[in-house]
Amino acid sequence: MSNRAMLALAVSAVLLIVPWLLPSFYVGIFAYAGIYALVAIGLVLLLQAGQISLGQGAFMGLGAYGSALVARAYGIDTLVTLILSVSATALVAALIGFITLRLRGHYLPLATLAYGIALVSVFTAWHDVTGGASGLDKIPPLRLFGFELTDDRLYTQLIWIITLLAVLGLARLRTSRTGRAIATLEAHDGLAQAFGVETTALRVKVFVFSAVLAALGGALYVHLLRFVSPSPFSLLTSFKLLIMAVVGGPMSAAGGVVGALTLESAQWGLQGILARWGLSGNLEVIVFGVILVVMLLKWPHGLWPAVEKLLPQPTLRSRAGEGLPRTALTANRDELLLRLQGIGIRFGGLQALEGIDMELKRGEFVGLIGPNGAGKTTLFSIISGLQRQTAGRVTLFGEPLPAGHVIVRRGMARTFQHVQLMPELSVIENVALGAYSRTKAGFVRGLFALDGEENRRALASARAALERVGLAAEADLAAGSLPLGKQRIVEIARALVADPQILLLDEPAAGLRFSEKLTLVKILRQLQAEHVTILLVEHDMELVMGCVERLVVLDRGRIIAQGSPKDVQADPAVIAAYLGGGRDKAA
Amino acid sequence: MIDTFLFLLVDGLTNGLVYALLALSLVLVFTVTRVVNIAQGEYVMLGALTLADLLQGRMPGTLYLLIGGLALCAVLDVGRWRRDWRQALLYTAGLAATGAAAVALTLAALALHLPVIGMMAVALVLVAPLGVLIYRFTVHPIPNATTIVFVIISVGVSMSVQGLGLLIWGASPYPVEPIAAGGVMMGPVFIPYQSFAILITAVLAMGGLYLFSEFTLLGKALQASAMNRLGAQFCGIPVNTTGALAFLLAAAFSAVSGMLLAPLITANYEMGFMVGLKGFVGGAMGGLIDYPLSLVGVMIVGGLESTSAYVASAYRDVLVFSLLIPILLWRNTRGRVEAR
Amino acid sequence: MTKLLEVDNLTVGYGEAVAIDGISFSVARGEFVTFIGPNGAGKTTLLNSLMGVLEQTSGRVTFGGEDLKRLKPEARVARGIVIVPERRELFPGLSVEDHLRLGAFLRRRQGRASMAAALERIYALLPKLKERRRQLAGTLSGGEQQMVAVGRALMAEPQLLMLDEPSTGLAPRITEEIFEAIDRLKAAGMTGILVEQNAHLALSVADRGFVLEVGNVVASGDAHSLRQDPRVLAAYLGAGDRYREAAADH
Repeated sequence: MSNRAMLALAVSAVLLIVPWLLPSFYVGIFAYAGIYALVAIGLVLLLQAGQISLGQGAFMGLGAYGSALVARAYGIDTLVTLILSVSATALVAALIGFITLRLRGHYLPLATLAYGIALVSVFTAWHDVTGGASGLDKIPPLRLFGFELTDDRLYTQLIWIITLLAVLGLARLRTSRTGRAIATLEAHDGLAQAFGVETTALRVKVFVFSAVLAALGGALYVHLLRFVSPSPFSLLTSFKLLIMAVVGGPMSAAGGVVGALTLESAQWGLQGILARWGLSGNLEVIVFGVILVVMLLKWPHGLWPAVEKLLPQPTLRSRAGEGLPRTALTANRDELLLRLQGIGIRFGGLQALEGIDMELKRGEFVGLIGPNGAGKTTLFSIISGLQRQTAGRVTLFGEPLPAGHVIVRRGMARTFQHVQLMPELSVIENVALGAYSRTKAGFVRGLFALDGEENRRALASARAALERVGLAAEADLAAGSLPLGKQRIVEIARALVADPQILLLDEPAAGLRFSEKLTLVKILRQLQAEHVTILLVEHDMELVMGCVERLVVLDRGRIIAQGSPKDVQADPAVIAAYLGGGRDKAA
Repeated sequence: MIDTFLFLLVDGLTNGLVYALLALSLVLVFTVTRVVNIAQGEYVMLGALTLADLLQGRMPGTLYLLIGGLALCAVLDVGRWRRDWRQALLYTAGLAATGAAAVALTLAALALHLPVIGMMAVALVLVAPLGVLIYRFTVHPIPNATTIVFVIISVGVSMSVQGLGLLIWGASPYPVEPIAAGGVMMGPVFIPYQSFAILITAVLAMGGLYLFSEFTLLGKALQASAMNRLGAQFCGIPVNTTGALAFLLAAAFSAVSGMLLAPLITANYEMGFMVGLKGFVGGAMGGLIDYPLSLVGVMIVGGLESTSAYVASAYRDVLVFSLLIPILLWRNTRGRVEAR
Repeated sequence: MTKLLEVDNLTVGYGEAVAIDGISFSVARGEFVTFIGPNGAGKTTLLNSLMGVLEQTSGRVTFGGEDLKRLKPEARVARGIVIVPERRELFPGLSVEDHLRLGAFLRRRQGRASMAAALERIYALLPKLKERRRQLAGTLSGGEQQMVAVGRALMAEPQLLMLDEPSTGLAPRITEEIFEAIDRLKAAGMTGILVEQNAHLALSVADRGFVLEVGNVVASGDAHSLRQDPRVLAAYLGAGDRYREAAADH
């Protein structure tokens, strides 16, 4: 067992023993810490997916009221009431998520605020059922198979068992196929789409899961307290949960635990100080607010990175073994893979591209060049499915170009002009994203570690791709720590894992030093020798001239020349396009 | 029937007008700085409670916040001393002078027993600079942060300020006198004079902001910073100053609305938050970027509030906040949201 | 001639990439220099760094003898360094005249008459702007927007005018007009740095030129001789020999 795993086990054991060591007054605080940690973990996952929620308190409330009301009315086993209330919350969350997750930018946090308040207001307003603002007492205790859990210490232990299992599940999720996809949600959608991730569906799943954890936390809360009222699920709770997630740091699920423990102890400590000085009010609210602001200004990744530095290094796995199957590429140079007919695109009043006719045959190495503003990037984004043309057709392997996230499955993978790697993940995990469209394990399988075999093969494929591009030694380094030249090659490896027939490279040499460019050219030639078809957009003319077979030259949205590098170099239209026609001025 | 309708109309309008000033503040702050200011409502509270203190002949607790904030500014800019100690000395002296002036002004006002309007002006002078200070501590250090970061930060500010409000003023409500007591009967409806005051203030504020933005170069510079920060920099426009100015004006508008609102509702440390959120619902109609639409939005909120208070009072908040979601969805489909 | 701008061993990188690799040059008062080269050469990065939008990694830039290090863009405009940016950076909801007035923001205290006179000067140079003075910038054509950007920059009464690829995306006719305006400015004694992809156009207006290729100056000299220099063409449509040779060793 690795050092890290042993440490995690030790810490868990300590946390589980603590309830028996604490004086009874503090047991309750420790229990609440565990519950908040559970909910905060869900919020951490949301933050990892680039989302935010100011309404987690409301989901806690739904879980709490659901379980409490059913248990109080029908006296059923808590396991049943839990399942009912959590499922109901999940349904509500799915509905809300589906409606609101299409909101972008500053609209999404506002929407979460809205339902956060609206749902809690329902608890207060519907007092016939919920007891209104004064709440309901006589909530039955937790009852599992007839056994009633009234001992606080035992209950606290149960809470922490559940929370630690959640941490385990999420840690496992992060290294799974779905976890890699979730990490892409924070970047712009282009990356996710390019590797086959259906972003909206995934966002909803993440959202529902975090609501499930919140509902579970709420239910556990209410059966401990044996009393339910709207106030513990207010906006203030949602804010505190946010602070816990931010303080712990969204890097890891364990951050949620760190955040919850820190905040709960801080709260207790501050209240003690207040009592001693005889001050009224909730000083901790002020302090938490300030902590939140300061953390975001100075340490946006929270406390977890500092904690992680103290931990033993994770052991590296060998990742050998068989990868996913690779399609053998033929050398049939006549096969037409990609065809553009009459492609044009119009933005407002501007005709950015017009009458583009282009073909890409198997095994070709084609370069797309042109002066600034010629439309190369636009054409590239049409080919890779990020934009739709307003005229003309694109045919891929004989069929019309499918929707963005399906393209990779058809055999076309790409790299990006501005490197789109997840800097905190290791190189090999980044590269493994390329296997997303070729594997199937979903959220649940990732959570419960039921995807071991498939994940192993994906990682083995990633390793093979890294060997292919000469970066096997860097496999376990953090992707962000590599120099730019190597990062670009990691992107190529990632695209290769998708088993493409066509490789689309978007300015792979931008910002590289000469030695890095040489390495790049060597890899590209090698891929060409392996019959990979390559379409390259580039500005570095020397590089392009030195390795491609055929050039397509764009200027002002039209193709002005096509041919071998030598022919294009001598073409007067091309020279005029780049150097300019000059002016009719008496020299 | 007509009586009820008129009553609801007037009530809705009055509510709406209060939120109008708040929506104005939200749009101003968002357009110039890209901050979704969840803490905007707190200036409402600060304005109301500062006025309450002044009217009762006390030194307002707000002075603690102001002086404390100025001191924090001096401490944070300690780096300046190393670079240019003369400039740093001037800067610190300026901060100290501002603090002293605020105290002096307050003492004078209390000694002179100014009428309500006078005290309102003094309260404004004490509260509005807090907006600049908060800008300095939270936005100025990270001008290029994403929207989500700003949202979370404003949550932190809201919590802190509300907590400080509780610490300084306690939980009990404070009485605040209206500008003029009593009211007038217009047909079947009784309209307090204070509502007229709110109406006039709202119109003046909106008119003033419009004139400022459209007819002064500084106003145009403010608009320019909102539309294109980089372009504004290339004109030599000090974009940090325009940001601070936006926060200052927004704080001023919100504080005034709080002072006018306080006689009509309970004035305590909690009053700002809900008002702020309802202003958000209205402002969302304009996507936080469109002034006229956000005014329409607050009127709808006001109307909805009165109607549901009358019809199903318990569910009033539920309805108002649930309304936010379809509004946001509608705005989302209308235009491209700038997500930075 | 006095040296207005002196750049000594400037290196600019962002993130990992090195965009400008140790460039040195100077611009004398009244001179117009140009940086030409293909895209990705670092031309825009150079201007953004001189403007204070990008931080220099190392090296020294002095203007009128003053070190510009760490000065924000607003402060550089105050010292007379003004840019016409590549993307123009206009204010879509404001009118043409608003843009011009804002260009003179730093001189707003000089009074109405001074502002009116300045506006008339710009309108004389770029008459199309006068026709459209009340039109919102967001509704203008590409060429007109470029003119607004130039006009706005001129209102700041620059000591050093920097133009970032003024011909981008413009039809030849409009480009002509703009470069005619640049000619007139030069004749009036303006000091300038012109960054252009269109080498012929740039060399027809500048006094001296530098050819940039991926962050390095590969050729320089007076504009007239550069026009005939084969290294210019090579920078744009290079032979690729270095890469082919490298592959041969492989």
